Amino acid sequence: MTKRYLILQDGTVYAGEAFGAPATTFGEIVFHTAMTGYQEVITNPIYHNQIVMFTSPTIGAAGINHRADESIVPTVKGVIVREIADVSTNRLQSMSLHDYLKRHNVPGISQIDTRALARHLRKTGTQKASIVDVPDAHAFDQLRAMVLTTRQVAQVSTPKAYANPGRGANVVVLDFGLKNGILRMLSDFDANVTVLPYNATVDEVANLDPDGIVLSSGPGDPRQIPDETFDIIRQFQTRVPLFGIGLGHELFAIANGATLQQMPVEHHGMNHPIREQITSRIMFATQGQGYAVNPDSVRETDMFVTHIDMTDGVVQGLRHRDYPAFSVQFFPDTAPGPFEATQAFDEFMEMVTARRGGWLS
Amino acid sequence: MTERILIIGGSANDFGRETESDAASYQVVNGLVKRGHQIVIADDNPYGFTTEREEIKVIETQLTAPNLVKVIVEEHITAIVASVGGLTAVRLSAEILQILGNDAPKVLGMTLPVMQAAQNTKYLQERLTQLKLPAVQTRLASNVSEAFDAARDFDFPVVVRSVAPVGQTIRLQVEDAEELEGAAETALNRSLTHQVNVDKSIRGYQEIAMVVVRDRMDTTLLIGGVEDMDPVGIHSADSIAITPVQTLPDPMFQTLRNAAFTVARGFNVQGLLEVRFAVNPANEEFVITRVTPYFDRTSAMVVTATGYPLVPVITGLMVGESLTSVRIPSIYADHTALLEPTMDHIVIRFPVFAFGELETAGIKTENRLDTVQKSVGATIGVGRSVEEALEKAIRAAHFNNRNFSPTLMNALTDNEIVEQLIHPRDNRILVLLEALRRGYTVDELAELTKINAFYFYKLQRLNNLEQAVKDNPWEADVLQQAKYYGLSDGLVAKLWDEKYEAVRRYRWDNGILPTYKAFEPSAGEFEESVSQFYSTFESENESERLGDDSALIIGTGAFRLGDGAAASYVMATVADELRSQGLKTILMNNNPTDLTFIPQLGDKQYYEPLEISDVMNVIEIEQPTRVFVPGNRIKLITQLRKMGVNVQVIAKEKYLPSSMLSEGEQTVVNYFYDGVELHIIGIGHQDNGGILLDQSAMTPSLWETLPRPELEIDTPGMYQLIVDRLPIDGEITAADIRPMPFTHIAFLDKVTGVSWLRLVVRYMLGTPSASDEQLVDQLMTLQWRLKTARLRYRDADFAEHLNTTQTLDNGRFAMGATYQVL
Repeated sequence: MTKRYLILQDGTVYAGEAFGAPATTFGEIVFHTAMTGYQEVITNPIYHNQIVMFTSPTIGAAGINHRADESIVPTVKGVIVREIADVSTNRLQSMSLHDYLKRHNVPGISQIDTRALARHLRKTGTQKASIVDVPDAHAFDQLRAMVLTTRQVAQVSTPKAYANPGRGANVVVLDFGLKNGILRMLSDFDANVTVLPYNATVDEVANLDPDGIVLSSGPGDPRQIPDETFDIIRQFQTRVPLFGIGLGHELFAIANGATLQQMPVEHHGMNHPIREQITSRIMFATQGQGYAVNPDSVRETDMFVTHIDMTDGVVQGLRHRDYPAFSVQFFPDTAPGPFEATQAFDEFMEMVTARRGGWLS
Repeated sequence: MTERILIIGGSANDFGRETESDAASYQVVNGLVKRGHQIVIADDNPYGFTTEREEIKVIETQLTAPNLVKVIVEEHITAIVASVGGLTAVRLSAEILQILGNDAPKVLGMTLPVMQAAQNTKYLQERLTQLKLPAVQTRLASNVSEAFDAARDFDFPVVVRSVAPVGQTIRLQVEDAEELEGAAETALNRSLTHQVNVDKSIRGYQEIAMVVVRDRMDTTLLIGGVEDMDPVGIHSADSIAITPVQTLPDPMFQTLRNAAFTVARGFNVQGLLEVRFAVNPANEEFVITRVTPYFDRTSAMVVTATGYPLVPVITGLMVGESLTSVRIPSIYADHTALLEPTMDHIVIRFPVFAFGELETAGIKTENRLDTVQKSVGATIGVGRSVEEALEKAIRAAHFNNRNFSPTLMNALTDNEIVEQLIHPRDNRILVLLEALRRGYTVDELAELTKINAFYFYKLQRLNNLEQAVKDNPWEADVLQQAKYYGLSDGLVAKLWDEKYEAVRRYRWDNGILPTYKAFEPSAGEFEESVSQFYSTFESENESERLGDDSALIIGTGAFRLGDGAAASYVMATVADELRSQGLKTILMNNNPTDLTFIPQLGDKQYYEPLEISDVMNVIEIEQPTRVFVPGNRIKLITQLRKMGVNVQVIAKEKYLPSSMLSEGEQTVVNYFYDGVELHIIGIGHQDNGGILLDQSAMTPSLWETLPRPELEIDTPGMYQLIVDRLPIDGEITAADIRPMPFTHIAFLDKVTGVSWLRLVVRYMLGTPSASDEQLVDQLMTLQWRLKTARLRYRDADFAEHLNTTQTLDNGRFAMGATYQVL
């Protein structure tokens, strides 16, 4: 057992036990309140460069399972838990959460009073944090000097286009950080998917003659996205069904004139009631957001709000008044998360099919 | 519209029916009365707490459908609540709907199909098939060859059950074709219709329960999931149960959540529904085995665990409010009803068995666990790790049980260990720990027991911790880890061969102090001002002292055989009266079904074991002015007094083996003791069947001659004198006077219409009113509410659950009772 420390930018120190890799790590710290789906969370590209703290007290009890990967390797910079479980469900080798993180050089720290930490972060908001061997002045200096990258999207996006073939509709996915769940859902519809890098051009999209476009879920700050992306959205939304998810939703909002705001307390979990405005239907979905669309700014645009989070009124979905284009802030791919959220994919694929004309699909 | 609502009570407490429905019922009444509805409750349970309330009308009648139909007509009932009276209330409601047809009042939140599905597995299977959900596959066979056809379709193993069996239900587990012929013949011969059901066996599957709520707008949410440690084959009440679900991967968990929603929707439930699943761990296939549209131990556990205001929410949903508009107590945030609770702690329910008590009384039972419930109660342990929750649950369950000692395990041979791993008994957890100690690997044990490997890693850690503690006396770091994972000061003291006080002092000196965390449904995301806490040993403490002049009330813990429900009634009444007298009340208990956890009874609740160290930790934080302890916790009382705590004992008799089994009746003289002298309340009779209270048995001359010996105590209380006959032979002294049993106190309240415990509390506090004093002075002329009433112990189910053949001493062992106004 090795003692290690979690230190926060504001000077707070938590002592705990090391697991995973013995490396020192820096990142923005967020807390996640889901009780299942830890592997999906730590491989979700939206947590690229972040340290994720789970409020659920035991993490790792379902082992590590290839079906739960949201990307090939973990995306997080660190994992903070109260208890880690030693379970391995792999057939060929031991692969517990500890083994998995160690293999990918991601440090973790357990035996942390995660409830106290969540209550602390709720008050302070997101801040920089580090997992270190010694919580001395030097460690704090380094932490405070660390500059968080704003190039997350460029770092996680595929460098070149690739195909995820199917026999159905031709869907282009723009990769601003793409969780596997989105491809999995599109595969369920047998879509013929081409994934393009985040800096794809209008021409590159047009060359593929898409039946539909998906803007993927991201990590990071939407204001760091190349201008051309907004051109793509504005040009294609008039002609092709377009579906934004997570960061993609934020980009859709900006492209159509809405503004964003940073949230005082971020949403990372799957237990918030989300209301679909038109039906008043309430559903649950996995959320992971630090930015939200300013609802007042939507009024000045050609979009309207389709979904809101009922705990704090935060915008969870938008739709264009004139075009077959819409977006959701939450993750509709249920990896992890409640199934009812997948309805957004049904809707998108219906639009796509309608555009293609019936006989092809 | 104002409704006149009939709440159907659950009648006698029994296996699988503790006080969870009474506790829920109390809160449902609150909610309905606040909304302006009128309440009538029909029940014949002498230990009922809700039925003591003044705002409601109580009908004391035997719970049969014809009786209730009469009540419905006479009382102009417009709606029925069936969800707080266990399966009895659901069954009766279904019968009422069938008898009254279109004239029947509506049953709030429940449809006839869901009531039927709760009672009848065959019907449930049909409905599930319509909903395209998997049910246990079953087929009817009229001869051996048809049984073979079914078995071939399902694959072995299968279960063969007689249809309309002669005598007790039989279930035969059949592993292969060779066994099938014999089993089918036996079962066919035991069937009145010469038919058997062949089911696909689900033994070894993992059991998961999902508790969901749904409103009339079809908004559906998951309140919590509970995972059983033991696989199918052991009754769920007899398994250790854990929430939140630990070992399911997210997609499987979501599949079950979704299936539970589909069931709630399919049955058009408006309120609570628990759906029970069996999951095949090998391929993640699942079947739905049961639906429960009423409060039971699982929903009680989930309420406790999540901090979600389930009862207030359900109350609103039943009368047609939606989850977006339902009125919940103001301590919760506005959106709390709509939030799916998420937990940052672990809650473990641990079954309590009574084989040891029965054995001590010379009663033979079979202590092997199977598909019939054997446990008589349960405790919960709460912690921030599985280890901590489990340690605390075990400690709460076995505070004083010679049959649950690790030292007994040393005597088992290896063969016995294997035998008991395969055929679990009441000491299951100890055998698992011992097997690990003897070097069985986690994988071997997981394979043998069908218990998820995850739990064996946890047990292994507990073994290692105990060993580390033992090997390292007076090592602060080791002690810190031991406390972190839930080991008690008492256990550490035992391992160090030291006194508890010394360990406690050492812990203090080293700054290893408990921190209390709140139960709230958002895992720290939102600010909620809740008053329920559990302890752990971390950095942040959230529980502040309640204030000056508070009273700490220690509950009675898990139900055991005997007076669990009456004891719960007694401590809840004490708490309620203390609060009425203006004291701030702090409740401490570990039985999730207990009445003392009704939120309205306490300003604060601690869900903790009740060992001296646990109690002292709370006392240190709260510094209560008074501590109320039930009289059966003699060791705790002694220890607390030794620590200088002001203890007030709510007495209970030390059980006196009686001759009631063989002899006839005894006469009971009941007294109220005001701290100075005994006041006669009246006389009654008891035998092994029950208690008879009859005011007319008292005459002025008898009143004069009954003894009133002087007691050498100054605490007010309820007392009794038991004699074989009147007039009394010989002289009666203080030594012949015993504290009144909880069962008698509860029944005396019901019959006389006086809440004696409340009177005792007021005298204890020195705050009796003028009318209290007048009442005590004129007990001879007190008009009892019921002139004559009989309490009957319910004992029929012992044979079925515990395989007992001897007659039991009911005064000691009966788990429940009914009463009748004569």
